Amino acid sequence: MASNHISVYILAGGKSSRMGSDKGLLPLGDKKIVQHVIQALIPLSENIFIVTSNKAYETFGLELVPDVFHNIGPAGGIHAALKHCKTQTLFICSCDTPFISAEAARFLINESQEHQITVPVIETKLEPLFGVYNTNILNRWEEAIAGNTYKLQNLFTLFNTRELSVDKNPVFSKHLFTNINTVADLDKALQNKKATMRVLLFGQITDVFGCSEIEVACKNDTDSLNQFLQSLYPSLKPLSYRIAVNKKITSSNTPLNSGDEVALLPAFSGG
Amino acid sequence: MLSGFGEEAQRKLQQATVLLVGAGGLGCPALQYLVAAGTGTVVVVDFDTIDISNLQRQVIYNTNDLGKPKAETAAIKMRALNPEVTVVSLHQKLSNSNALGLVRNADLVLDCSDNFATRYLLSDACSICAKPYLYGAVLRYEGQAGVFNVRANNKTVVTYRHLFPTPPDPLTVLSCNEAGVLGTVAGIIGTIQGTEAIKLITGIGQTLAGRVLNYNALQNAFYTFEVNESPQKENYPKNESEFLTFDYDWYCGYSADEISAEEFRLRLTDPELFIVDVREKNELPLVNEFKHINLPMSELEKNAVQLPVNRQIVLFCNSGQRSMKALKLLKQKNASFRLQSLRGGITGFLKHG
Repeated sequence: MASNHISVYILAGGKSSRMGSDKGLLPLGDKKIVQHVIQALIPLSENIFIVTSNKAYETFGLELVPDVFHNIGPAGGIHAALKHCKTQTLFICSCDTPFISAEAARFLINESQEHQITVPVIETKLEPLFGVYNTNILNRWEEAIAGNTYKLQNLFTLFNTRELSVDKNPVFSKHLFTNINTVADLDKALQNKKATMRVLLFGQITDVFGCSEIEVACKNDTDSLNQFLQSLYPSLKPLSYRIAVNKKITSSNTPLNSGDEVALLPAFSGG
Repeated sequence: MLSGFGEEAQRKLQQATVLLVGAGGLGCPALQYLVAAGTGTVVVVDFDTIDISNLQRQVIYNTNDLGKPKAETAAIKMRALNPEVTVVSLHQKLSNSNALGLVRNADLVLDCSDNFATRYLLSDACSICAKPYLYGAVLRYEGQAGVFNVRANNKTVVTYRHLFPTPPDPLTVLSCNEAGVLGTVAGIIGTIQGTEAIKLITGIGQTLAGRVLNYNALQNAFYTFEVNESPQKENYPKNESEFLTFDYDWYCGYSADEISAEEFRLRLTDPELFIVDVREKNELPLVNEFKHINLPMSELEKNAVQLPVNRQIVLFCNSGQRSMKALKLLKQKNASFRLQSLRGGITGFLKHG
């Protein structure tokens, strides 16, 4: 369910010399890369903004937030977001990671608690541009960048920062942060993007997920999809429901293919 | 004259007998249209009486009908709507002993009930008697409808149990009393059940045989799912003698720890009894009939220490569902509590007083 307790800022407008154009605006499948990011994050909040000075991003219907400090990398983008933000907490995401998911973001938000910054570490690699930030860091952040500290890792040491290892967490798959830095990556990304499926949710199962539809990376069969969803949302476990694949109720473990539509159907008794 | 629906179809309707179980949110619209369409005989079974909270969806009743039996009241209104239809009303609970007889006498059966015990009982009865079972159920902004025990396109016949083989854990079940339902959703699903009944009787169109339809009012989305034959491991009655002795209340998870309203009333003077209202503060109706304390469900866990281990505790809420959840919660908290939940809740108790 989209909430107004958190704002989402997508950082775009980075110079992309490696590809010669703005990465978020490159096509991936039938959409621009940034549209994949927006679509993934819509369940998080009704307040989604793009931090950029590039007017070409206006076409996505979201408010654009320009940088105050220019040419200092993501530290400037995060600053603009902190300064603009009306909620206590904001979620920062890069515009060129089309495989991120709301589930992963939600997990970090739940884990953030009293920390000022919460960012994931996957296989020893820190992902600062997929994290939860508290707006109470604004003044110090601004002072630091005015003093020429631009490296995010150095900035993080100034705050109560939680670097959360997510290696064992099923919500954080390896390709989640695949970003689009080279044309070769883009090709690979096109292959990966195909491997998703829609899961439609009915009845009280919508309470568990907070929405009536999710998109997940393709699983091999209905059993592994079910296990994945139950590990993600333990309150799904006690509920009884049938799994349908492409509008047919399955009676045993059924193989899944990318693009399949899965539905979780509980019984109702009201009359 | 509706094209495709001629005299022949009308005659078939006139010769048909429909059994409708539950004259509530689903039953009212189904009943209205079946009677208005000129169905020969409609048998209405409902043990309940009309409550003010019913009127938002059970639109054939009005404020003058409060407290009256639903079956008989519905029958009177339906006879006025179409005197040529024979409307038989039975103010009783559908049970193991009356179900088979009622189902056998009908051409098809509409399940407009509001609980799993009745649904499984009626579905099994229809399977044993090989009668079409027209399913409908609602919750909040969603509803489901389906047609079972009817062959579709050379496929095997599927039953409600092929869709939902076993009842869900009662702790996870939301009732309309608890979670609510948008009145029009019950209207739409009940009307679909009525439509499917007319189609089956007259042989027009493609029915929902072997399929279940899900309607979501918020998205205005209809999804239809195909139900296939699946292995049925579960023990359930497959013939008359097994059916007659099967305890559906127990099967659906309730009753072992429940006390009936009648028994509760008899025991009220027993000083051994410790009675707890688990409803939230200020919930109606107020209860002055007996001494009790109020420990709202939301705070029950932390207040469990206030309960005595040496007395028989009876928990109650409005319908008997929440108190059953409270019972399971308290059992986990302290296995030495002696607990019972009032079946049918305080509403049932006051009604049958």
